[in-house]
Amino acid sequence: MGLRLILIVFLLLLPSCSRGGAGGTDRVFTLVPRPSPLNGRLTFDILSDPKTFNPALAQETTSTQVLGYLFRGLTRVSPYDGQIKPDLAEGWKIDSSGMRVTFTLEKGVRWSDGTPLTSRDVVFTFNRVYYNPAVAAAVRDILTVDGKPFTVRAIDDRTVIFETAKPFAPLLEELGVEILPEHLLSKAVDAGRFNTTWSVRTPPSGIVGTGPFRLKRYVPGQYLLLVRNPLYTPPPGLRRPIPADLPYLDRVILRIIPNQNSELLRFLAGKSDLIGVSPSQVPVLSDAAESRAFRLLVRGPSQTETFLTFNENLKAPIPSYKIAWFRSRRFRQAIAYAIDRKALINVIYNGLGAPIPGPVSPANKTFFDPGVFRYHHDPDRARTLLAKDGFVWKRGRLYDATGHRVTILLMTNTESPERISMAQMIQAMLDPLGIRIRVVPLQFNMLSTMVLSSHQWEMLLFGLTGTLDPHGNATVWRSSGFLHLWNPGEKRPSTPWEAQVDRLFDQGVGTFDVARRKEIYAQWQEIATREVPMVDLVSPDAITAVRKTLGGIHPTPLGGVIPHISLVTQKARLVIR
Amino acid sequence: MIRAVLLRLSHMLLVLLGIIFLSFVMMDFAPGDFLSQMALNPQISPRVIASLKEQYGLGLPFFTQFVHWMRALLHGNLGYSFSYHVPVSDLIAQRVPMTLLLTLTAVIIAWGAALPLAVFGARREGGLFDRSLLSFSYLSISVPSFFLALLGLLLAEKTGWFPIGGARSALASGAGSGERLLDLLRHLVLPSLTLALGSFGVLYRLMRSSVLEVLSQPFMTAARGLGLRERVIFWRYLFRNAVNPLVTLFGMELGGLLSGAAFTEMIFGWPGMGRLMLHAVMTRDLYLVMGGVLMGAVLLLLGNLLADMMLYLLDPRVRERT
Repeated sequence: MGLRLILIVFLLLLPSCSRGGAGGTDRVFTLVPRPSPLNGRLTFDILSDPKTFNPALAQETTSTQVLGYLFRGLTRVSPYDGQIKPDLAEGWKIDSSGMRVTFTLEKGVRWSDGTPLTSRDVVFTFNRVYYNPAVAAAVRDILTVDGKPFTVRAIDDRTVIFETAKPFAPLLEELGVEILPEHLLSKAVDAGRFNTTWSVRTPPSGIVGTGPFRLKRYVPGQYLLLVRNPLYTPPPGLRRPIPADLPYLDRVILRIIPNQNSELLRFLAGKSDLIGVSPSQVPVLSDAAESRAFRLLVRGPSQTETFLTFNENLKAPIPSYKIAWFRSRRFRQAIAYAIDRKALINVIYNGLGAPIPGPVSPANKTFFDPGVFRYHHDPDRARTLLAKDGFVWKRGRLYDATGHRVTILLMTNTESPERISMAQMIQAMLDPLGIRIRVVPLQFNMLSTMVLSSHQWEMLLFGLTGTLDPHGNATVWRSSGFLHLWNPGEKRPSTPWEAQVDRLFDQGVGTFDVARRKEIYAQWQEIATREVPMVDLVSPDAITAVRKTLGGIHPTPLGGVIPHISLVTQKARLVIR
Repeated sequence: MIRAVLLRLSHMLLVLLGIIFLSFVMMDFAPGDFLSQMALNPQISPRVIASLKEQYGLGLPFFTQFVHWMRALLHGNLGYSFSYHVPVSDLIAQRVPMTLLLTLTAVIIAWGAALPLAVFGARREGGLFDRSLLSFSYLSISVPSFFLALLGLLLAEKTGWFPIGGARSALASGAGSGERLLDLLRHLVLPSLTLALGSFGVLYRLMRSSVLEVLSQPFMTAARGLGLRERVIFWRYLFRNAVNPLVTLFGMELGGLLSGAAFTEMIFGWPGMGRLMLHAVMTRDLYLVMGGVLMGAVLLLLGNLLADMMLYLLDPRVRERT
């Protein structure tokens, strides 16, 4: 009896699972045009609560995403090509020394409480907030040159001068950091209360910015409601397809849904307008796209990538013969040839991804060097390289010239299941070469201690957050960098090519001319792919599912599907029967 | 009775201290801290991390940190959350009502359904009603709650009868208070049923076997033989004896009120303690975790105390012994 009942219940449930997952066909989604595309509302889900409404303290992506609608910086990055465009600034002038940049603020910009934005706010933001040692601002580093802050001073109400100790090319991009209102925050800074100011407990009306939206309501764990900022002044040069005040939308609703399955179900049911999709979800979604009135937009390789790197640190507490393998260029190249990137993409990303040839992602249109060398899958080439390096095979196993069997521990972090399966695939790909890999998944904190402090690791599969400006890679690629993973914090470069990379980074950071910088960083990419201290692997495609009701949507390589939030419209209403 | 309670309270204080200390030790032993996540970020230098460490007091020796926190605790201050930059007590106070609403509803549903049904089923042992409910309770015990929750979401998506996750429709806050309540209740249905179904099976089976056992006792035959009215037999002899083992379980359930719904909260997007704590543990938000542990421990201890007091009132044998 018991068993029969269980069976019946499951049989009842099964059809609902299979059809429900692909979006049942029993309900009909139709689009009814709205009289005007303006004054609509945009709804989407975010995975967790914002942690703070204070832009200077925000550290993780949920907080920064929300604050991106409320605050602006002097500059912004064009999501199409990565060029730096003015935002709160009307424009800027770089003097001939390259050490002084004069910004003119856009005319008539006001804070959402009506107070005019002046150069005093800019000076306050940098000198009293970002550079204040008592403020827990993690962005302080990117606002320094060799550890020295910029000198920021106001000339008149609309003119601010930034001076750097050396010419600093990434300056313009870094000045996209949010500008804060002096008239509301200076008291908190004076009283030493800034670190608890504008927290998630602050009443929404107290959060004042210059962005296209204002925070209207925040219900912890449930949703954020943003409404249009009527005092918004759009950045210069933003083209309006419809002659009306910006933003076109009336409100933006961000629901906090801590579970990706629920987010997907909510999107399928028409409760949200857009959703980021992982390659493994595409088969489920593409079947439902027509019936549920949405489009799947594939934007090409994302900025997230994965790489392999080797411990070349002579002082590391691992056998010295292993360090000798890792310090050999031929050995590293052999590994790079042995990896079948297509197979990684097919298995892990459902075929939706791209191989990443070098340290700059192809998504970075400005600085990616299309001529950079690409390692294709070539096991024979790998064998030749290993043989030239004195490695020998005995009964299919690889031994080095001194008779040591080649066995390597490959570490990665447990938080990413994708990385663990990638590590296992790499294990299988290196096996035919006679290399024995043991995969060791470790918890992130444990892994970072082993890599950065005890240096007790051999091979690492990992990913780092990329930046648009190649100079963001300096902490990794400069031989003295603290994240120069393969040999951290070298006193002086231990190889000639590392010395050359150091020189290139010094040149690149001091040149404002984009064409010249492209050449410099192309040389770096050439060295990086020849020496392969990091074997760059693959990147998943960035994919977004967007309801057909939305206007102002364009897939861009850098900024998602929304080039500018203020230009989004709601063209139609979704009716579900 | 009062002496016994006072004695128990003093024991509880010691146990609580032990729990707090051990949790603090474990948080300290686990590798890394709140700032470790930043260590592999190319945009944040070790210098900045060191200065943040000092600001957060994470660089201090273990005992100093513990003593500081305990001293603040005695003044009723649970400390600050690193990631939210607000007092821990604010965050917890924000979430506790929602979790209690969910778990208490579930407890009421589960107990309210399981006890009468179990008595009813046990009295007709082996009947169709009893057997099908028994099978159902097997099912409810063996299906993991997260799976049940996902099925619930599928149901909501397919039928449109219930909202898919969350605790409130975003715009309902503009509506009247009656509408708002209705909206909240609609959101409450699926998560509370999911939770209730999980404990229903256990309760049903326990209560059923307990009733069967009492029914087979000689005193039941004696009571019948004496010609007592059915109602008296039921309330004074059957129910009172049968519910005895469940009272202890009730105490445990009180302890789980704050923490027992974490899975369900995650999947249904219910804004409760479970989500807050999970995130706090994952990001190593030390004082937030400690605040949550403290609340959970206090509730568990109080639940046990309450259960014992109820037993004391219900069972003369317990009264005799103390």
